Amino acid sequence: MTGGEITDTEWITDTELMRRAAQGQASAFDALLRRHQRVVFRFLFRLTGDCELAEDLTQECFLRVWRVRASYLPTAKFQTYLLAIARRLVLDAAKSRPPNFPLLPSDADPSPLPPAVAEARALSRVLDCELRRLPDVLREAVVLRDIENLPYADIAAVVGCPVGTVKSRLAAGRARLQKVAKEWLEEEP
Amino acid sequence: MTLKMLTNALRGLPTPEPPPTIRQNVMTQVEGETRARRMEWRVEHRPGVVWTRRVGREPPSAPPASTAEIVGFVQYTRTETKLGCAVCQTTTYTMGERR
Repeated sequence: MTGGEITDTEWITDTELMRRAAQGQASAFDALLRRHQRVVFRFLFRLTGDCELAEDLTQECFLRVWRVRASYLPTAKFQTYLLAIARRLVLDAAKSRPPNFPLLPSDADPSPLPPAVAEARALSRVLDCELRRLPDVLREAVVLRDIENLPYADIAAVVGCPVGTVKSRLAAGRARLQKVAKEWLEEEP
Repeated sequence: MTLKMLTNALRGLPTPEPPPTIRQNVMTQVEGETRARRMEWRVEHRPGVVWTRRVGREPPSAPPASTAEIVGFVQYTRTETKLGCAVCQTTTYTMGERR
């Protein structure tokens, strides 16, 4: 009943690992955790803008999956299933806590950088700030498509809307980011 | 700014790595629940079982031969159930079903 420890999980599918986890095999769940924690954490960090909150929600996301493991049905990719749970956690957290938008490290970098690198970093800061200002529905579409590179169908499954809506949200989000970037580039000497 | 430039810039945004405490905290709770469930199973099967013999060494603080005070992992076979001791992490008791 304790189940054998899984040492090589590279070739075991997510569905199979979840099946084993449902039987109480903690090592199978650990393998899923190691496989997916990075993408869940990144997604939550981009949505919340708060590293500590992203950490808490990542833990909660995996614990929820563990609690309902017996009823898990592999109707979608496991990653999609996870990100949908993560997204719901963000929505719940937003009700009780306003998002925190810490700025990236300031311009006061003591070490001089080559102009191209400095410009790229400055542009990153501009885009990051604007990304955090986007409405939630636009931000999650941009994060899932342009940062996490998910297919449209998977994004639609995560956010619970038609693919067409995902595409229109993505277009709106990108347009705002491109506008801000263009303005910043024009202002640069 | 082209879409390709935008995508490249977004993918280059600095993102912190998940701290190791996430996995540690999750697995601590997962393994804790697993252990608790196994204990429940043992308690449910307490009627109708009897200690038959002791195997292995005594744990550092030997629990009495009472199911209520033995915690730890459980291993099932066709005819007997081995209880592991949470104190010394070794299999210390074997019990079989009353016939």
